[in-house]
Amino acid sequence: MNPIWQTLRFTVIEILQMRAFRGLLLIVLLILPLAAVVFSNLFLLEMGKVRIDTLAAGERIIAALYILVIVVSLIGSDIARGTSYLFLTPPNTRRDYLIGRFLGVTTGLFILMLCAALGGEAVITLSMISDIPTYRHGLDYGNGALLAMFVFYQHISVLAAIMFICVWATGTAEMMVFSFGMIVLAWSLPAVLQAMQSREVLQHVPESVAVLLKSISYLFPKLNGAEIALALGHGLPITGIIAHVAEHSGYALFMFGLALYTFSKRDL
Amino acid sequence: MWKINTLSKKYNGQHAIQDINLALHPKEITGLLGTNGAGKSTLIKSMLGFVIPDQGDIERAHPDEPVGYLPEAHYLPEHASALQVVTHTLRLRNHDASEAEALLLEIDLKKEAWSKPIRSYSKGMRQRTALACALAASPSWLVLDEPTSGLDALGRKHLLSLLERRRNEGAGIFICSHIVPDLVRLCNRILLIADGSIREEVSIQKHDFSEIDLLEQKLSQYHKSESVT
Repeated sequence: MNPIWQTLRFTVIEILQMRAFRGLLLIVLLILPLAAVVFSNLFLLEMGKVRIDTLAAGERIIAALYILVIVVSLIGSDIARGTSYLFLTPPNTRRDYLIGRFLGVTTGLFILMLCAALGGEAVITLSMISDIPTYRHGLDYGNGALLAMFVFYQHISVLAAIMFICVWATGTAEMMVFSFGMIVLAWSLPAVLQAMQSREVLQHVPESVAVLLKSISYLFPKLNGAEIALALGHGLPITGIIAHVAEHSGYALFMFGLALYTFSKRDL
Repeated sequence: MWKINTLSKKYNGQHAIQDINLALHPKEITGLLGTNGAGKSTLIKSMLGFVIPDQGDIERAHPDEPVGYLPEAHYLPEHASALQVVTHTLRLRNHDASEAEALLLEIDLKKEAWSKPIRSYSKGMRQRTALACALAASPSWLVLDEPTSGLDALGRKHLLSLLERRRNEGAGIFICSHIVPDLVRLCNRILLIADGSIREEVSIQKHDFSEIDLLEQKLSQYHKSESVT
């Protein structure tokens, strides 16, 4: 069997057996949809939009928890504690191993977001069959699934960055701190940098500072995804999100390439 | 044959191993004996590609054939079971996964533990599982770092006879251990390592107490010279 495929398969088996992962599955299938429905009833208008916003925020938190609790502990144990010694003996290569692990944790996130899509669609269906128009406003069948898939797609680039952090850092504590920092910055910094790069602000700053701000903005994938929730919650066309998707693909490829290079050069 | 030529590795400017030349042969058990910090683990990790050496080269006949490795400090996948881990190792080595059960029987892991998560295992059970991974797919080379660590007296005896059997089947085995009697019982020759260099090669003929005494004296002598330098 191909070592990449076999490593992917084993990674998925390991993830499915983690109690923390099963807990996350329960949250996205039951608790999050229920919370979205209950929370939206606190508002008088645009309940459908509130439901989508709640789902978007919840799914992003779940994806971040998956990365911090499951991915970092799995890859951390591989590299910092030496689990990889058992499976990386010749003729298996570091390249195959890391690609297999990356695809495995990505598949784990896909399973999680697939369940989130089911939960999200249940919320959308509940809204669509309602007699009250504010529940249906701006919503359409398929928006719940689309939202979960966008959150999944955004977090592939974070997974690639986390793989780089894990193969570069020297201990599980270091991996956890840097990964947490990366996720927090990816959530908050791009929005701040975007505001700092608005035309009004740029008129008052030197060109070198503008270039610096732009360079920093390329260091983190944009995770807040407000435009996605906005488009899906208001029935706007999602064609504008394509650039966002392309940016994330490029970022994921670059970071994973960097992770492969770093992993090939370090002592284990 | 597995040949190591002028292998060196420095950590923070200090030599962990220096100019190591070594040849391992099939159907032979070679022991590596040295005190803590002598460079044993660095040598083994360099041979297997976990540590990237600063200098030297490693040649192995049939590089596509699998090598079994038992690390000194191993951390098995906690959420998987022994059966899953061994099956995974067999598949990684392009081998029939149905051999996993026979392998777990061979290393004497209790059948009721096979499907339980490894996090519930004792130290000895973990050692047996890691050993099963090393032995999976009958590798032509076995590199074992402290293989008897964590095993009870019966487990140790079982392992030593298992290794003798593998040697007789044609495997080349390289063992690093602090337990001199184990090495003397098993090995055809023992390399003494101190300060990152191989100081002496002792051929084991009689496999008796006199050779144990001799090796312990030599080890103590090299340890004293390490302390002085």
